[in-house]
Amino acid sequence: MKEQKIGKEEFFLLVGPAQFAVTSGAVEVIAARIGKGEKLNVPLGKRVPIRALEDTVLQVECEPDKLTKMEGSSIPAEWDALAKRVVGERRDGRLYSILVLGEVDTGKTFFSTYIANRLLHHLKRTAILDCDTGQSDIGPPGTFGMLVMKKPVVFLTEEPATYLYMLGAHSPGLHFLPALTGLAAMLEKARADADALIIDTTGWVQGDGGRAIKKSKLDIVNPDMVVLMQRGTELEHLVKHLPKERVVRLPVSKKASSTSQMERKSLRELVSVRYFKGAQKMEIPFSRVFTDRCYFLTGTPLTLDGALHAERLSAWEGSLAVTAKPLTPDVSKGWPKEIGRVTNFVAGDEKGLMVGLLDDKQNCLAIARLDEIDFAKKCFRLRTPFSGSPEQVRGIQFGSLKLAEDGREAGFIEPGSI
Amino acid sequence: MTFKETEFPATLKYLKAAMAADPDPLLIKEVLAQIIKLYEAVPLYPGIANMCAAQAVKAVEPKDVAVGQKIYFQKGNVSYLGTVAEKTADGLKLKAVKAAEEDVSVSLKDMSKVKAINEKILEELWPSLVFEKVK
Repeated sequence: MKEQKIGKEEFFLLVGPAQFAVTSGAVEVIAARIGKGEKLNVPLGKRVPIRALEDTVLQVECEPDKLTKMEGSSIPAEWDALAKRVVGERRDGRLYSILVLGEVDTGKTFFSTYIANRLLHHLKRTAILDCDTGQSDIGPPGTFGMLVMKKPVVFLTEEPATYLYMLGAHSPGLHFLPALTGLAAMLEKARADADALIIDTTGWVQGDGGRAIKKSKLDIVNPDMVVLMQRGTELEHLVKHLPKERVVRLPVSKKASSTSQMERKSLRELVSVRYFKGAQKMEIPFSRVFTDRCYFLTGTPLTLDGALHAERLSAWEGSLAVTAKPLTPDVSKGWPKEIGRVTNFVAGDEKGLMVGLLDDKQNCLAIARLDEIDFAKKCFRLRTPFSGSPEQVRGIQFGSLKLAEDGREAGFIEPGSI
Repeated sequence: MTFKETEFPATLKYLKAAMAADPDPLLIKEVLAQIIKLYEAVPLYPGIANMCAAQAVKAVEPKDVAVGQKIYFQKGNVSYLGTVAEKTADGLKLKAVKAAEEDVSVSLKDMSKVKAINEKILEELWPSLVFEKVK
C-alpha cells in the first residue's frame, strides 16, 4: 500500500488488479465520484483513468508501474458534450435510447458506463442494457443483462443485473430470434423503468450475420442516437438509412486494448464463476414447470421399451426418445411405426447445460446449471444462485452452453437435440 | 433478404471446391470426417467449424511431413492415408493406412500430392472453444 498525492485536475491511469482508498479529497473514475473514505477495487484485466476533482490523497495497492500519471484526461471532451445533448433532447415520459456499435475491443462498455454515469447526474433513471453475451458485464455470459442504475457505477460486473434475459449462447449466431426477442423484451422493461437507455452491443458488425442482426436491432430499437465507435469507416454500412443527425461518430481510443481469445474466455469465466459462487442445489418436478426452447416435455407421453423417456411430438416432428445409450435398431425394432421418425437423446448429455429459470410471465429469475434430468423420478436437478423459492420457478428455458459445476465453460449442446 | 443467417452454405461451398480440386474419395472422406468432427466440437459456430475445416487439410512437401502426423499422398495411381510412424531422410513408414491392408513404406521421391491433415486445427485456431468433458 502506498500513498499517492494527486493535485486537482491531475490524471492517473491504474491497471488492475489494484485497489485504492481515498484518504482525503475526491476523484472521479469513469464519471463516478469516489470521495473520502470510499474505496475502489480494479479487477484483473481492467484499467481505469483517475481524475482528481480536488487535491486528493489515495492509499493505493497495485503491482509496480501500474499507476502512471497521464498528461491529461483520456476521456474526449465530446463524450461530455454528448451527455449534455442527450439531456437536452430527452422529453419527459419518453425513453431516450442510445445504441452503441463497434467492433470488439473498441471501448463500447467503457463508453456506455461513462455516459450512463454522466446522465445519472441529470436524469433520475438511467439504464444500461448489455447485449454482449460473449463478454458480459451485466449478468453472466450467455445473457442479456440490464442495470437500472441507482448510483454511478465504475465496473458493471460488480452490480447485480436488474433484469436478465437468457440467450444461452456467447454469440447471436444460430440464436438470432431469441436475441431479437430478448432485445424487444428488455426495451419494454426500460420504457417502464428508465428515462434513458444505453444499449451496448456485440462486436459482430460485418458479414451476413453481423449486418443482418445489427440492422434488425436498429429497426427494433429505432434509437434516438447511434454511436459508432470506429477506427476508420468500418461501421458506416450499418447506418446508411439513418438521418445524419442521429449518428455520432467517435474515434476509438488508442488506449483501447485488444483482448486475445483466451483472455476473453478467462474474463467470461471470471464473471460466470462469480455468478455461480455459493449456488445451491434445487430440484424441480417436471409437473410444476413448462419447458422452453426444446422439444422435451412439449409432447404427449409415450411408453417405448428400452427408453427412459419418450413422447410423441407434433405431426412430422415424430417422437423424442431418451435412452441410456445411443439408440440401436435392436432397441427400436419393436417400436410402433406411428411414432414417426425418432429423435434420440442420450441421458447424461444434458449434464452441465445452462438453463434459465422463468417465472409465470417468462421473466428470467436466474440462470442455473442443469446437473441432471432424473427421468425416473421426473425432475430437474439444478444448481443456481437463485435465492427465491423453487415455487416461483414456472419454466425451464434451455440454453446451448454447458458449464462446469463452478461456472467455468464446458462446451455446447447441439441446438434442437432435446 | 440476401443475408444468410447461418454459415452452413459456406461448408458446402468448401466441399464443392475440395471435390473439384481433388476428387479422390479417400481424401474427400477424410475432409468430411474433419468437418463432422469440428461441427460436433462447436455446434454453435458453423462459421468457425468451416474456417478450421478449410485449414485442416493442407498441401505439404514430402520432406516436411512429421512423425505422428496424419497424411494423404499418392504413389503412382494408388492413394494412401495414414499416420507417419517413422521417417528417415529418404522415406517414411505409414501406419493405420487406409486403402492398403498393411503398413506401407515409401520413398519420399515417390510421393505426390501430399496433404497433411491437422487433427488439432480447432485447438490451434480457436483454443478458447476446446473444453474438457463435463464431469
